[in-house]
Amino acid sequence: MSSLLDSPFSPVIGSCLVAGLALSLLARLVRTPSVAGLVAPMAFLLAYYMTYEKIPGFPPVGATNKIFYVALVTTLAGLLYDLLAPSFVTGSGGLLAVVVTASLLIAVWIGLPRFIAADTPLLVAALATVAVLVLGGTLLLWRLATVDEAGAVDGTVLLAVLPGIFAPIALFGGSSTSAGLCLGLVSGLAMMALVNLIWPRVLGLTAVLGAGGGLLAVIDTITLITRHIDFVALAVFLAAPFAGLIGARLVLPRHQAGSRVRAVATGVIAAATVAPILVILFLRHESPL
Amino acid sequence: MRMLLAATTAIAFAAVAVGGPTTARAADYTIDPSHTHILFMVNHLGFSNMIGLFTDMTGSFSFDPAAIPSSKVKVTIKTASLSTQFGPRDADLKGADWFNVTEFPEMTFTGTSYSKTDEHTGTITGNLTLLGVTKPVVLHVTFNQAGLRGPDKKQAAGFSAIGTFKRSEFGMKTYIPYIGDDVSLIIETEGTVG
Repeated sequence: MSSLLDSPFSPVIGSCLVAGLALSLLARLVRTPSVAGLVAPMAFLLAYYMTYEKIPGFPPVGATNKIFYVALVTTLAGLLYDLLAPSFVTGSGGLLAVVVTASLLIAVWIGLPRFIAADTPLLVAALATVAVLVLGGTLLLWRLATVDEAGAVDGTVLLAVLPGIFAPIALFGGSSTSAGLCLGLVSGLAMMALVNLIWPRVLGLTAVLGAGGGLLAVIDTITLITRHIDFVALAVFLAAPFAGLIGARLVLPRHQAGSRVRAVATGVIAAATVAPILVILFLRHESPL
Repeated sequence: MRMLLAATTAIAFAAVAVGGPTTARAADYTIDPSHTHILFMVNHLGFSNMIGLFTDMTGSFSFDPAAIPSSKVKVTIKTASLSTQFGPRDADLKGADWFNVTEFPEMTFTGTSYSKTDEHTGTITGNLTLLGVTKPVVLHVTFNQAGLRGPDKKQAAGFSAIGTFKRSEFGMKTYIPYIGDDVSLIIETEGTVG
């Protein structure tokens, strides 16, 4: 514990814990869904700022600087969707189009340097990697955006645990900084999940695209730019929300569907995927610790 | 044994005669990568200074002891050649948070002004480009010697240099102040003509 307090991660985690709780309580007081949706993206942007100690200039140079603007733009896109979509969009087609577009644009923008001046085999490898990331990112965002029905908080809990599951993959993937960002994000989102468990609120697309899109940008950066990601561990990570939802459905009696217990069970089972991920990472890589 | 001593003395005199070890003349040199070492040091949590090095570089310099201000130097370093003797840390340092070798595969140093402080020392002010950001850096240089290099009979010149810069000025702010902002450079180099 003392080593964590002395580490560069402690200011990130501490500030995100406090800000996450304060913002969530404030959003609860304001009671405006669009304001409440901003808590998760603000936790991401704070975690980013505390990790990199900068607001990058625009246009951003380098993938880590792009992450900030990805989170900013996806937050605005989500906010627009949450404000306008109920009037225009019917069915799930519009939502699917938004998450596919977001996932595609994030991967292409982050991975752009891989396409420039690349010879054919490298270009094919880069395209294949981008295709995998777009598919994985779409599944992740789609699952988070559609999981909650009225009164459910599964999406909030899932969004909160996902960065924590990804943190060791980032650490082994040549990005201890991203691991720190993920731990900060978990802290902020855990506070949000706690408040939402007490006063249930459906996770809107502002939260999913803002924080989820930012997390996707981190994943894409490690995969496409740092290029040290473990794809097996990444596959397990992408399966985590599905494992959580299916696991909770199997473990809990049917009458508890939609309850806080189901949300917690979903989060715990999803978070448990970190165990096989750690086994995979320690077996396949030299420990960075 | 006496024969060997005589032969060695003769070779030494011959070498001095054609351009001894301290003889320097105006020439354009190509950096010899097998005798060039670029090290950097950065403070690690206040406990020690971590040392890293780059093993792949190219470059050239012009050097005339009689006209120091007209010197030239340009060095290009392949950032992916970074090594700190610990694989996982190298992966981290080559990644997007630090040297970002995928997007910025090269860092360059181009000298812009040169001055002599005494017979064997001087300063080079130049532009260091790292992570797409160019900032001036001052190197304090010691001229070691110039002349014919024994083994390959090439005209050579050798220098040692040290310098410091703040990595935050190049946008590399990761883990400051836990990992130091000040980066010390230690350079040992030889250049050859032809």
